[in-house]
Amino acid sequence: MTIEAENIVARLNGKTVLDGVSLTLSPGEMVGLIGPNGAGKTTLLRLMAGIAMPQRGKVRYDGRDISQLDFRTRALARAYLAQSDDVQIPLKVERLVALGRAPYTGVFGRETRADVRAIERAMSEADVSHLRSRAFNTLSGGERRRVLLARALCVEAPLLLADEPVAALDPAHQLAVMGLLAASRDRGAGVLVILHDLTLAARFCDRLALMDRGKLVAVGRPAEVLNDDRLRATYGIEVLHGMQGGVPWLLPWALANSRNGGAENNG
Amino acid sequence: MRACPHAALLVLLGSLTALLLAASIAVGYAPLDIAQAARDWLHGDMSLPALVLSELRIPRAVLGLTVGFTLGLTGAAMQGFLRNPLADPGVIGVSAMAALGSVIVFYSGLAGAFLLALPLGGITGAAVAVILLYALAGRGGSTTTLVLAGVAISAFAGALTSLALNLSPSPYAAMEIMFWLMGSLAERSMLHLELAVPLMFLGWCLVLSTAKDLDALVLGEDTASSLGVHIPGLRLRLVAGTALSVGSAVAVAGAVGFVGLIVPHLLRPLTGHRPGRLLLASGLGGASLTMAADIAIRLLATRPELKLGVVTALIGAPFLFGLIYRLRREGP
Repeated sequence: MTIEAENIVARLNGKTVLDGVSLTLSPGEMVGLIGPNGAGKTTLLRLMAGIAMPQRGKVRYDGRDISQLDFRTRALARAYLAQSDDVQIPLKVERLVALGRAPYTGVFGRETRADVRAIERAMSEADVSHLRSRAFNTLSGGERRRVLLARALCVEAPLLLADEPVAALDPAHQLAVMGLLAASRDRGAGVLVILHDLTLAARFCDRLALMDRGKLVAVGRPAEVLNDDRLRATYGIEVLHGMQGGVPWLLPWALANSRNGGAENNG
Repeated sequence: MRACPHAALLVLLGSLTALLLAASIAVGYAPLDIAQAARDWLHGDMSLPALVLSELRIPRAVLGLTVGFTLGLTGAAMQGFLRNPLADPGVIGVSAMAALGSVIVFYSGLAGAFLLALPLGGITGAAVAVILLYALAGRGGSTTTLVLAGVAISAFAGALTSLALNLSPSPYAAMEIMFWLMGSLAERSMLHLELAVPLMFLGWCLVLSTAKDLDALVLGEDTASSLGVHIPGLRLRLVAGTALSVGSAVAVAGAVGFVGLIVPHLLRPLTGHRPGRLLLASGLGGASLTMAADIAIRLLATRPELKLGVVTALIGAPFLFGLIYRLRREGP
């Protein structure tokens, strides 16, 4: 399934947060959505997930306007992993992951064997099977993120839209989670993921979409998008970089003077 | 506590409810041969025992059941929907407006003019609360806006109720209002039941239909929406269902507080903290608690009779203190 966002304009409290953004996500590709805080990444992700509607422009799933699709069709088409994890109640991990099957189960929520298999598979992939009987609100931040990822994987949708899935994870789990998203991509899913770690973005994504102040600044292969001038102009940073096996790595090293009015520079 | 099999819990609560319904019919101030009264009633012989059974005991017991079910069910639904353990029908302002509607009927003297004026006043009040809620927080408004709108409506209704008491022409009218505000199941007739129960039932169906969506809402509105939950539709069903059932319950029984707060809390661990599963269980639990309190009132037989709302508040207020204390300790 392909998502096309075409010329999206979104306003929030009178402020334009997205201004004429167009982006396509195809099956079997992972696109990294990057850019400084407040660039409009989460808004774009929510609009492409069909959770909110743009003021202008269209979002299409396989050529069909998303506003024409009913809620269940949308739910089966894409899984959405939100940035926050404000689940306050002591719900068991296994039950929380099972909520990902909601689009499949009937009014009474009865689970079939296929549902149970999907729940087990998702928990095992996200490495949370051993937490199944724990109460969600007693888990560590990293464990919570993985459980919520398992919940999203459990939908088994052809599209996965994830908002900062590796925030709050240790390096090993960051690599593991990115590996999981890549595995979904390799199975044919389209994956759109918001990331702040530019090296992870370059290492795992097929394409990157760099946003700044509501506009899409650059879209393309990681090595093309992540050049020094652009990073200075958007993030206001100087980076150290190199290549490892044909993949670029970047290390944010100092604030760029031009944007931040003479901030310290120990590069 | 661990989650026990859900069906077993429902059977247990259902049996308890049935048992308390029978006990509530059996308990009264005057001795009554229930079997004889039932035989007379079924044969159409309106003897004194048959009248006591059909016009006093059964309406009071069934009203306890339905009002309690309403309060338990809507309390659980509001706590799940607002994701706030302190929510209850009072939070969205429906109880207070229903009470105001009934007070206006009292105050204007309509209550004496025709019997159904009082229930109609309560339902009208609840309906106005819903319309106000929708004007303030409907269509895309956030849940926080809904809570704030509820607080504002409650404050407004409370102020107007006090104004009615303040300006009451006679101390007797003020007293009548005060007593009614305390909540009671005494001296309600079959007519009250016939008007209120169908509307309560309609409200229950609306609220119960949200069970699966409430489970998904645990993950937050965005994620629930991504799982196919239509949030504005869910909000509409819950608010309309709560208004219909609580509005008619308050209209016939007055303000009976805390049932919707206590019962969901006690039952939540037994349902694995799943908001959808809590609904029916909490309805049955609310029915049981309300009927038990009303039986206790009649067994104590004080003169004048204790008001149901006073008894539930005496149980509920310390419970609320304990709850806040616990939340504070568990909090950051």
